[in-house]
Amino acid sequence: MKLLKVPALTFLTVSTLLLAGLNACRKPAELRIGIIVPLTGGSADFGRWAHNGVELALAELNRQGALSGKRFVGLYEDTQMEPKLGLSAFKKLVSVDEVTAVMTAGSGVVLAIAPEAESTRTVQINYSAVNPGIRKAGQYTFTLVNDAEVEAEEIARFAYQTLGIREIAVAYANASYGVGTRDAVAHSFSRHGGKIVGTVAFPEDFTDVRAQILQLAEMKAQAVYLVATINDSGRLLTQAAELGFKTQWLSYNPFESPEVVRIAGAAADGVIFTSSNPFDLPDTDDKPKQFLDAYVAKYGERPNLYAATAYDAVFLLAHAKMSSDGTREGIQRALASVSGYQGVSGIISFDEDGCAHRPVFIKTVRDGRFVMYVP
Amino acid sequence: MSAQTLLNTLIAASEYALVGLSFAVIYIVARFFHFSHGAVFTCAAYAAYTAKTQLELSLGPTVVMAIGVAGLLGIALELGVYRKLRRRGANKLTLLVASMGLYLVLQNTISLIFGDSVKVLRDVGPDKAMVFWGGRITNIQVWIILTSPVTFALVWATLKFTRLGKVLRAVANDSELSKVVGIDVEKATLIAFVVGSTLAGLAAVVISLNVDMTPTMGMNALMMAVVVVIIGGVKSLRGIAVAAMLLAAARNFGVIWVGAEWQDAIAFLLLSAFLLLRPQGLFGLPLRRSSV
Repeated sequence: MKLLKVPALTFLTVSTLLLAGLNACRKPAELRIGIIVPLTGGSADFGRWAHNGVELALAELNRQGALSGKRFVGLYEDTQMEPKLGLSAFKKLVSVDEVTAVMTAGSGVVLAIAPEAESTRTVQINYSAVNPGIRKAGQYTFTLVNDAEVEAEEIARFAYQTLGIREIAVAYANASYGVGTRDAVAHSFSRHGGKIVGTVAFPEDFTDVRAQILQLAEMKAQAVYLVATINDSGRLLTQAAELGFKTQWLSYNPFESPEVVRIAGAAADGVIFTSSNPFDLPDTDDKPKQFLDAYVAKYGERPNLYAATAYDAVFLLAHAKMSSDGTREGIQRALASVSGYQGVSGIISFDEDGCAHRPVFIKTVRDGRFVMYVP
Repeated sequence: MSAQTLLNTLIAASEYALVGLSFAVIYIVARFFHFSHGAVFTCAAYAAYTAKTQLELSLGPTVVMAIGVAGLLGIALELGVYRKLRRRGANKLTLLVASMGLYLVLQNTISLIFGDSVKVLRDVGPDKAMVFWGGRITNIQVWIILTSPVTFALVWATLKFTRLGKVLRAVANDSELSKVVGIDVEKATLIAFVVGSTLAGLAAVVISLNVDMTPTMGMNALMMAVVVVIIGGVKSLRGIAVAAMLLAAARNFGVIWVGAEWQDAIAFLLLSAFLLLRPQGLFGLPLRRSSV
């Protein structure tokens, strides 16, 4: 064994380096888009929806562009929703794989990447993160969803005017998206004349939040706004129901996932949340409808907003690359001028901060299904 | 609501004590930080999930399967990795690093096979709760509160009155001297792994029935177990029980006094305080020097 040790080690080292080198050299006719999403970890759902949407988009793009000889390729990097991992993934994609455009998810990740995107002049399209700070993160950062302030405004107005709620509490995950949304909700609700009676934080991926639920109960608010991942929302609602804590739960876009119902069961019924999901409307436009059918045919489940925005992100980046002079600044200019683009998630126009405004609906959970809210 | 807080504290303490006990049994005999104990915990939970969803077993066989998987995994880790490393002269740090690597591999394997979303072991949805002393408690939570002291009693009786218990205590006390008097230390270590891992399996099932499971749940459990064992005084069963109560109280009442976002920090503040002021723990013997 000892005799083989040195040559074996040498072989392993050389072959590893060779593989890494070969990996980095890709065919020049490939157009690469970086996909920086949580593929594992508590928010792996976001990554899964993105993956599904991106694969559909790439297949369609390459089908359309088959004759031109150009192939679009998605390079996936896992962030586990951690800003540190997201930033190193971004740096690797830009310096090693030489991508000129990425799509990203997660407020912490997007905000961490933004300064680097500015300095390397690499556009990032955020297809899901809602922290209001992203608006001012730079001209190379574009967002396809409403930020927390927009959603907060809608739910605050709805809660105050339609539901007659005057006092709310906020339960939020102790992370970037949680804190950003908490502040947005507090601000909006107060502006309408309502009162925030308290806020309670919980760690992400918790085991047990019974202490926090008791704190919420003490506050005796008429409604509680919940900002959490699917996993955490599901478990929190279950534990709250077991403790006998009843309230009007309010939440936001990411809440809309079948997983929540799968985890919480009947405890998820009655939650009211803001949604920009274009697929449940009676008069869905053609393009979203086509996407819906294609998605269901391929994956056997209905898409949600994030699969659609991920799909749109790929197409927007592809169009920007093809229609511009190919330089980094050119791609940024092409994206910034997008207006009235009919995407599968709806009509997209970027404002002067690179943010798109999406229509907001109020939905609820009834018997385990997500339906439009009817008073 | 303090009646509920007390109940929550009792439930949490029972959970911490059970996991702490499972970790301690291995730690005091094998004398190194068996980090992948967290993965044994998680694997047991997911074995129970597989038993329920794929094999459609009822609760009893599910629990038995989970405990069995945990025990087998413990044996595999000891025989397949740790014993081999020890025979090559590995020191405690090497074993710690190896166990961390094992934890990562096992946890990610579970993520790969089952995905990262929460998996539910009980019937979906909130359990019915009974009202007790002004607070609410579910069936499984009652079971947790009962299982913990019963398990403690069994382990204590085994350690005190059986020959096996004497052997384990001897090795825990001084493994070199144990060898001198003819005790098979390697066999004792293996038995400790079996006992500790099966206890972890039991804890994993009852905790999953209470709060559902994710691939990272083992890390949470392990952290609390380590804090409890160190604060309690490592070799003292009584210490583990008291430390579990202390930790649970700090986390549940601390949220009220200090704020919910500090809940995890409270556990480690408590640990830091003990390490600085009373490193031998509540019931441990004062030492001049110790190492992990």
